[in-house]
Amino acid sequence: MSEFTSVDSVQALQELVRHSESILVVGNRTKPALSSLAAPTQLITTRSLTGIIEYEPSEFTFTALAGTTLAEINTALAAKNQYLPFDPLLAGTDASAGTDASAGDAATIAGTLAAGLSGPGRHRYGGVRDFVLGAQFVDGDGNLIQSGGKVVKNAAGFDIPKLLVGSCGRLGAITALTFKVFPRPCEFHTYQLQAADHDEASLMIATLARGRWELDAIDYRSESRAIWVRIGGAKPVCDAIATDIRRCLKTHTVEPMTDEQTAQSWTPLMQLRFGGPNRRSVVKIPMVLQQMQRLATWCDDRRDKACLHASVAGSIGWLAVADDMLQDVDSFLVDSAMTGLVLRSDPGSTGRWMLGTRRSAPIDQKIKDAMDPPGRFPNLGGE
Amino acid sequence: MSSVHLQTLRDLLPPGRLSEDAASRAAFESDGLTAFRCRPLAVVIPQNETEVVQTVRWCDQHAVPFVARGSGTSLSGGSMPVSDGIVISLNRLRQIIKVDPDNRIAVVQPGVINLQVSAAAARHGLYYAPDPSSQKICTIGGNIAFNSGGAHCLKYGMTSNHVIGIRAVTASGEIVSFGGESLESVGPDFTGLFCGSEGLFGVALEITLRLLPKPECFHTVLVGYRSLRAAGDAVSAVIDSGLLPGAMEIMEALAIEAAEAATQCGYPKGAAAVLIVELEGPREKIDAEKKQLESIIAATDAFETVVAADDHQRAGIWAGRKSAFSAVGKLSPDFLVQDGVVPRKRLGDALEAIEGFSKDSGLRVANVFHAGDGNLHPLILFDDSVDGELERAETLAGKILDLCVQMGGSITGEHGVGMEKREFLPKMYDEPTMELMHRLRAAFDPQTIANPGKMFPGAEAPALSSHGLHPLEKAGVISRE
Repeated sequence: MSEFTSVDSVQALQELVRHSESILVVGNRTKPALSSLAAPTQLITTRSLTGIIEYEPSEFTFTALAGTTLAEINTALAAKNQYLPFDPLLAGTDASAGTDASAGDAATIAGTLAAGLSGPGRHRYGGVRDFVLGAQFVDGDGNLIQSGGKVVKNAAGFDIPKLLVGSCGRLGAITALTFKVFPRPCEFHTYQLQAADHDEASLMIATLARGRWELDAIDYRSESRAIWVRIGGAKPVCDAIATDIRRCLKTHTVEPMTDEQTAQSWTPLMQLRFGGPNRRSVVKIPMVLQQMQRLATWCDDRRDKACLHASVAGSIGWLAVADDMLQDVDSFLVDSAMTGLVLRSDPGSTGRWMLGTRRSAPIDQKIKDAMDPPGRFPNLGGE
Repeated sequence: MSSVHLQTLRDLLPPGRLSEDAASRAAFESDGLTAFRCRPLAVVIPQNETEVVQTVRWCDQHAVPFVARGSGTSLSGGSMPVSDGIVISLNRLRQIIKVDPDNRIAVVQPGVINLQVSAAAARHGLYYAPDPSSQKICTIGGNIAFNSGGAHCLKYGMTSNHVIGIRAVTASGEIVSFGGESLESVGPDFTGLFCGSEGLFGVALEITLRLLPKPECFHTVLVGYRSLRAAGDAVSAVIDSGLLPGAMEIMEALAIEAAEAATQCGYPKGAAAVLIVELEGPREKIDAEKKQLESIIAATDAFETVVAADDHQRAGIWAGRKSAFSAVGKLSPDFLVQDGVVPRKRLGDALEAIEGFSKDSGLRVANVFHAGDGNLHPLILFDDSVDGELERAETLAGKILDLCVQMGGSITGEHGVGMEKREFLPKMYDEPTMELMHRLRAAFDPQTIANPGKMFPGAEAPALSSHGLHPLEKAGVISRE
């Protein structure tokens, strides 16, 4: 991180923005591909801008400075039996799986929002976009903007906090965020279902997702044809639901996972390390079920170099590939009219962080110009 | 703008789409905020997307303001016409283009009625969660413009949480496409920005909605309390317990009395406040949670508790709540309703302050509110035929909004700023933030022709000219949350 200038106050960040020709703000750089820029750019980290500045458990809200780690937030929320239901990834401590994962990756709350990353729990209640309530950020002119609000319901003014979701630091430099939280179920239990192939997996996922059971997560590891279903609640309740799933899907393979199996399953995903040492590059791919089948088949043909974890009932593909495969991924996505977001790639890369079909609508640039009139933040194009 | 000039628009469109006669224009001169009326220059009723785009581009070319609207149920004057502008009525763009049960989405045109989405999804065991109480008549396009809410926002969020894709024509005539059919996307969440933009960006042409599995079971409890404070304490107890009810609503005495008279809903007699709590979910979970809820309620100062035994009784409980405002409105020739939000822990303080404002002004206020999310709905009763009462009511309403801002809340939880609260927006947001909002608006609408006079202060307002219940409220078709 030596090349990054650290700021420890909002005023200092405003000054840096005002006096930079080209600037990009990051957190702990757990998604390094998003800040691997070819063009000369001043790189700033808000990792020192840290701390939960307001937390009202009775209001279901908290406000934290941009550089606050997910681990710190998860710990504070867990102490009050609350959580961020969208399961933010790269938290370092994997609260959702109920186990301590290896520390090291410690994403910040602002980086999570700016990258637009939601984990498996997005299935039940929505993603990071659905839980952000307010955003304080510095616009391209160096002004401090207070958008959104601090209460769980607010329809006043344009919803700028949502615009920042997925903006990857190209529309503003986030300094603080307010989120909605929910009470955390007393326990989570995971069950594994086995599909014969991707077609059957798709059918099973569709049935699970529209069933009466209100599952917390429905994920699919395409290599093993295994579907993981996570249910929140006391064990007898979860077991009863699993039994009913077995009956409705007419399958005998709805196996409860042990705590150890649960940790071994979810933790590598939550750290985006599920591809192992040979498949280190990670791409997020929005999709629907039919696209999931195609992508899973594409991975089958490149088994040693690519694997797919489909999350949120087939809505998000996490693709782990060898570093030299990104061009192939790009070609596949272009052919399929899909888009990918590169989160992690060859460490020496200063390449594209968007793959496949990319937007180039004039309105995008107009919105960028409104947020950043002098054009100080990098462009939206994904280069 | 002259009739001769309008002829160029008429020439663009098939016969019968453009109306300039007084009767047609009068039908669109108001919306759910009946305090305001303004007759537009002309009305266009397009039959398809192409005609919408042609009309918007014509407006852009000639710098003519336009107001797109659906059923006109806005409670903030959000679909009020402007006198030198065109109304684009979207009710005939009412096609449900597809329902995809495997991916749990529906693609619809903007004039589709909210409840029809759930009706179309029902055979797949799915539904569309946002449920503004006008859902029998309000349109998806209007819901998106104002990011509508409903009784279930705490658990399920507002409209924007259920919109994943939008194709629209901007005010400058550009066709834009945001999001798509996946729940996720890459890049800035433009869809989220478009939701709640109050029609200032352009007109949504096609919308992709997220559907949810229909809850299997409901457990609805109606509880009577001798004081509003006790009802508020019960809400806190439920929240502290870790339960996440689908809805938590409170009504106070005046609203209870009116609802009882209107719907014979059987609410506890003599209650100073009633609390409705509804759990929903799979039967295994509800069986466990309802015992927990029962013990929580038993520990409060409740004097009567009714558990809905079946769907009929549940519907009766909700009928009282949903009719509350139109019923209260019948006690008074005129009323104003606000929808400010306060932090939940400040609900008691806020209601106490409102009571004080009410006494000071000499006007009655009935309170109904979404207790789970701190969304107030004070109904201010007045008689416009009495000199000065309207002004006193408006002053009182303004005090309530100021109070919400001072308490760290919002001036609107679900009705939008519209025309009604535009002078209050700068009280929530400072100058740089307001300036940024103006720049964002200009990105879509450099001429400020899309729904002018809404959200931002300073624009000329149509004169106040009429009050009373909306005709649809009088008919019992819609009600106010």
